[in-house]
Amino acid sequence: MDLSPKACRLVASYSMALGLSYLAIGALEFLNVVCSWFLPSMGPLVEWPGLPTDDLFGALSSMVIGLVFLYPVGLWRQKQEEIAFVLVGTILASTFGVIYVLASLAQALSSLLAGGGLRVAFPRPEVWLFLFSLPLALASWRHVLGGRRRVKGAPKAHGR
Amino acid sequence: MGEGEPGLEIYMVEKRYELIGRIVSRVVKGRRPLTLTDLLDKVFLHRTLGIPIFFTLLWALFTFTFEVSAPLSDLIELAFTALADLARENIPSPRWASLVADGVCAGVGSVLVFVPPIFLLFLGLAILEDTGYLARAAFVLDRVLYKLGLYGRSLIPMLLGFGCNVPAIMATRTIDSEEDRLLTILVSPLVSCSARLPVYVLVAGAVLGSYATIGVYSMYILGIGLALAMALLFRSTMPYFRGKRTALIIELPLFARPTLRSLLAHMYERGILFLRKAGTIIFGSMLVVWFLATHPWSATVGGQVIEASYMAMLGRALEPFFRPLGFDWRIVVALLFGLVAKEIVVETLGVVMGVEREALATAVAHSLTPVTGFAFMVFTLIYMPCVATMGAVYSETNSLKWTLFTVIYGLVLAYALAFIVVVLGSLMT
Repeated sequence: MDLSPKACRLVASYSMALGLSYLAIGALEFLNVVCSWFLPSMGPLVEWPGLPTDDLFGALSSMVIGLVFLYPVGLWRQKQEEIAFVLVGTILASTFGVIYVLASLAQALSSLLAGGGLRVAFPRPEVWLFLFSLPLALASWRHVLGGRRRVKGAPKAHGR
Repeated sequence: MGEGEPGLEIYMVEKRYELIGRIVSRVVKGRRPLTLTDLLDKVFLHRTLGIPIFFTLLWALFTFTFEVSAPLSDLIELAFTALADLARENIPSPRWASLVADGVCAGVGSVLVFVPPIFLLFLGLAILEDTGYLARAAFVLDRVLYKLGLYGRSLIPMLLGFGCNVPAIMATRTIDSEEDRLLTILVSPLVSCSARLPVYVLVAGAVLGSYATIGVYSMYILGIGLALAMALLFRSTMPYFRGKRTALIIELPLFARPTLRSLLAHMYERGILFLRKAGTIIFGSMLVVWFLATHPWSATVGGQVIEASYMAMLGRALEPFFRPLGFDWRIVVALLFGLVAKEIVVETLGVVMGVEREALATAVAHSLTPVTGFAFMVFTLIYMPCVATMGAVYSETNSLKWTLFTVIYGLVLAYALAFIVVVLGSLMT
């Protein structure tokens, strides 16, 4: 595994941007839940297309993904093993992105079966963030998996 | 490696790895390159992030299970409704038409709608297991579970309990220590299985209004919380469980890409247990429910006058015991049949209330208040496990004593907590 200093900083910056985005979205969803449950007369704090107002655990999950993306600060100092946080962040982002897309399609199908016509809900912000995370995922995974082939051979045993 | 009091096992393992480390440092020069497993373990086993990541993936599993399976469940429900209508229109004898439409189709159909979420749950668990992540989850949670009287390896059976308590109890075979295994068996039925979900969805939707979602998910959290609390209680009060704790020693497998074949095999192995249960116990139980609700045939006018049925007589006999909880005889009868299989509670409610599925929520809202409705959900979560689970407990413990203990403590705990909910709820409203 041999990222150049420039590549390390680029990966770190991209990861941090994604981390802050996930954290912000998670916080907004959490605040929406708090308002919906404890201040119902006030209504949701933020009404954006696709932003849920009653998904507490989805909000917390987004914040966890954000934290994972924010962790690899060591990449700025070329601590290359911290690319691990980027890898796991992309796994979590992909997992939720795919699941939310499948859930939207399932809801549309349920609506069709109930006679309400095919209505696909506006994608959640996490789906868009998943799409934005794809270039980072592609680059970091290709580097790590490709690096296994470029790794120097295991050190020779001492003695015979 | 394991945590907890150093025992002989831990000591031996530590010495073994110390020796390996000394040999490796003498014969290997340079740094071993980091593998993909090393990198991923840096995050999945992280002291701070490990547990939040576990709960995040668990949430992903639930979202996948319940939301993606919804249209498949809807299709099954539509099919059985159509079959029931066909039976009513084409079978000349009213009794046989009622048996087929209300007993078989409505009864079994209401159970089979849960096949998609159960199979998807087992698929999700198989993915977590075959990739190698579940072993990491057990390791990360061992730190917390140990303080609560359980064991890292108890995690996997408890996770399986979200699908069905039967495979969860069978999965305790992976726990080496007999005491830890028995403790996990005793608390596993407290984990909310998928059979209870239709009850929560119905009651929460009927009486909790906009708090329905949080009401349903609170049952899952309550179940886990109670399992941990009871494990701690049993370990600190029962002499059988006191004594040397087994520390977790686990070899973490390399991360691997699972094959579709193994995933489907795992999903099938665990899911088929539910199908067998549906085809035998639940089918038989629904026939009994139908019989008790429609007979005496003349007195009930073919099931139209439920109050004159054998089921009503049974419910009224038990009602006094449940009056402090605010449950009337119809709720009591539903709980009674829930002993056979939790899946039939909803259908039994429909039968005793004499309404179709679509009108059931309205009927439930007339019988239960938000407080008594929540108490009913809590009671359903905790009280005696179903017949199949009791059978699994007996077969895994080989002890009538522990099986009866599971039944009795469940009933007592359910009544006590439901009563507390009713009292607190009355004070707050």
